[in-house]
Amino acid sequence: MKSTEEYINTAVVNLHETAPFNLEYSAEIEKQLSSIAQQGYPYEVCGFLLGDKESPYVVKQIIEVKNSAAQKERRFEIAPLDYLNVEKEALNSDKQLIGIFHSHPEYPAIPSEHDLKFAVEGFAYPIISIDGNGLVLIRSWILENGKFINQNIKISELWQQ
Amino acid sequence: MATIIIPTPLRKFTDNKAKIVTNGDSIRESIEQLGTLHPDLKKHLFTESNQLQQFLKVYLGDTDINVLEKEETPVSENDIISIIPAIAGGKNE
Repeated sequence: MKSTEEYINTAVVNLHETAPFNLEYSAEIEKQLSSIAQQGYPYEVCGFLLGDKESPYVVKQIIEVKNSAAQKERRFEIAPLDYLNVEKEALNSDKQLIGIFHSHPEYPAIPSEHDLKFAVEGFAYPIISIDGNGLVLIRSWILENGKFINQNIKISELWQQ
Repeated sequence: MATIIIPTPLRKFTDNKAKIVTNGDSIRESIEQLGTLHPDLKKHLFTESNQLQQFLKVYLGDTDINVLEKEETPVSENDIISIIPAIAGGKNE
């Protein structure tokens, strides 16, 4: 089996930089992400992170949407109407879309060139690595100057939730 | 005249405005006007040959304009135009 480092494509990931802001979420949201990824295994799952305008990298809510890709075991795709509905829900509830999560079954939490192709600056991209035994690791990434850089994740304390 | 919903990642080019009202009579006129109102946004909407960017979808209400009259689809007051970025990815292999 390859080591994690061997999955890193330096045309996709810049390991020399780290995002200036952490992605922050509660232990409950971490549990939800892990549970969604486990229920979807061995297929990729995907969805949105919602926060508010005042604290753009604090996740207040996650919304799983259907993976519309043809090859779900190695791809994800979000249908335009699913995007539109979540965008409208965010607007109506004064929340903000702050990122997109997806899982990598049997694969590290490292972005691929397919992830890069569709990534946009400003969103957080947590990737949930999962195998047959459960959650392996969640790592978050942001796009900067055409490559992904790692974004540290902070799990909020209970009293902050 | 229609209202355009700006996708979150592009709001940094519209002073964080989520909805913008335009005066065009078609999808193309409306989106072109959006680009004129917010010049930094223009290159994210159109290619150099003035085609809509490949990774964007445009909806009129809940309908993809590709099943209507595409960019020439007429719009009227109270119409909602949504610009939707393609969202996809997945592991290598």
